[in-house]
Amino acid sequence: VESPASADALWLARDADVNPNRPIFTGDLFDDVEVAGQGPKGMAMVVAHPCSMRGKNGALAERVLMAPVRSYQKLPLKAWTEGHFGVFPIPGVDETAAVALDALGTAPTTALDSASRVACLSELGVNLLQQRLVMRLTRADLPTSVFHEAFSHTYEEADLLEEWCDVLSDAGRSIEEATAMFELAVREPRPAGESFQGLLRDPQQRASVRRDLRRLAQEAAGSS
Amino acid sequence: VSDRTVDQTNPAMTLKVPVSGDETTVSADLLADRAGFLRNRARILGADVAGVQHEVADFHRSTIGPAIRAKAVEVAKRPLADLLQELADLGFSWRAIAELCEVSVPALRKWRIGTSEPARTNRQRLAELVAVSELLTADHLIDDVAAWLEMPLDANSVVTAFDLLRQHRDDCVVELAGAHRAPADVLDEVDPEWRSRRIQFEVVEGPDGEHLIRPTSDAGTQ
Repeated sequence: VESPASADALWLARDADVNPNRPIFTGDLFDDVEVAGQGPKGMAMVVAHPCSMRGKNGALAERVLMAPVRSYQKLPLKAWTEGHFGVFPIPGVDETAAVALDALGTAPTTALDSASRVACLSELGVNLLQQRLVMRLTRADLPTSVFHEAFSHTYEEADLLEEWCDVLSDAGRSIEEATAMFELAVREPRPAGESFQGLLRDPQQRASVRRDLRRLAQEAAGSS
Repeated sequence: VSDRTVDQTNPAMTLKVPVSGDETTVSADLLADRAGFLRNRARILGADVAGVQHEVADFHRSTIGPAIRAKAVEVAKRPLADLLQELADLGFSWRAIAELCEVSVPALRKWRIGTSEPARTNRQRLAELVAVSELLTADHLIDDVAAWLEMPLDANSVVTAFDLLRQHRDDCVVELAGAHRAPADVLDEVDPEWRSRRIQFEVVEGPDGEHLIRPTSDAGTQ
């Protein structure tokens, strides 16, 4: 089990830096959420795997797996590797609290609005979260590099959706409209057969997918 | 031994044994002695050549970083928006660019939308990425620079050429692009434990079409 090099390395964005155009993703930290069976409303983290959060058309599931944040002793980064596998510390957000990985439950996605999103984990943070969760639930210690290899395409897609929504919202489109257009664009089979979403699974194809989607976003913005 | 050649079956591999002018036969022990002498000379010559190659490689390596930085100084004079657009057009992710510039993704976003400017060192790093990309395209004919930089150097490692750039090892990137060094050689230098960390899991497509992780088929024998 690994630890981050710094608290900052855990986070993609916090507080006012969180982009409301970013889709809800694994590792997002929300305030004021009630996790079923886990007590009153409070801060909670999305721990559902990206693949299980959305249906085939890209729509969010009605409920997603979350874990509440609870008070916990301040953990130095080196202690991450020595135990405490039942929690995912959140230094940089709250030094004396952690995501309780033993207190899983679901929450309705309607309760997860961008205004209450406190922070988003970085890709490394998501990999560390998945590593700790798997360790806690199964005692299997998988390196984060394996999670990165298996699921980095989902993080890429979230990045691209965020960028797409930035471009189209500047052109006057709502986030819902922009998201729907993106989902159509990434799932549609390309002339060569594979969709952008499929191509993102191949690291060698990602740069060209980014180029194509950026061009399509500009075209869509131009016609808005 | 009455013949003066060691091997007649393959003319290309024939080795002439030095003999004096009036010799017509050479004893086996003398032949072995002379062959040993030749072998030693070849080894010494090879070591000399290797030494020169090593020195030239070191010299070449020492020139790469300064050359890129000098080019980057010129590149940095271009408008910030042009630099960012060039990298976007090449297909780099904003996350990767932010990592290279050692800033957060939101900070980079502020550069893109024009609400803040990078510090001088961050702008220089941005310019270095543009400079390296242009150099790899122009001098090494790499068609898709972003894709090339994002690929792992070896199937058994997760280290990419982009990781080398993040570690300020532009020299290794240019050496790889020019085929001056093998990927495994670079990995031995920058990540000495990479072989022992050989991944014992593999990522495959599951029956539901999504990626899944499973032990490699030879994991049990490692």
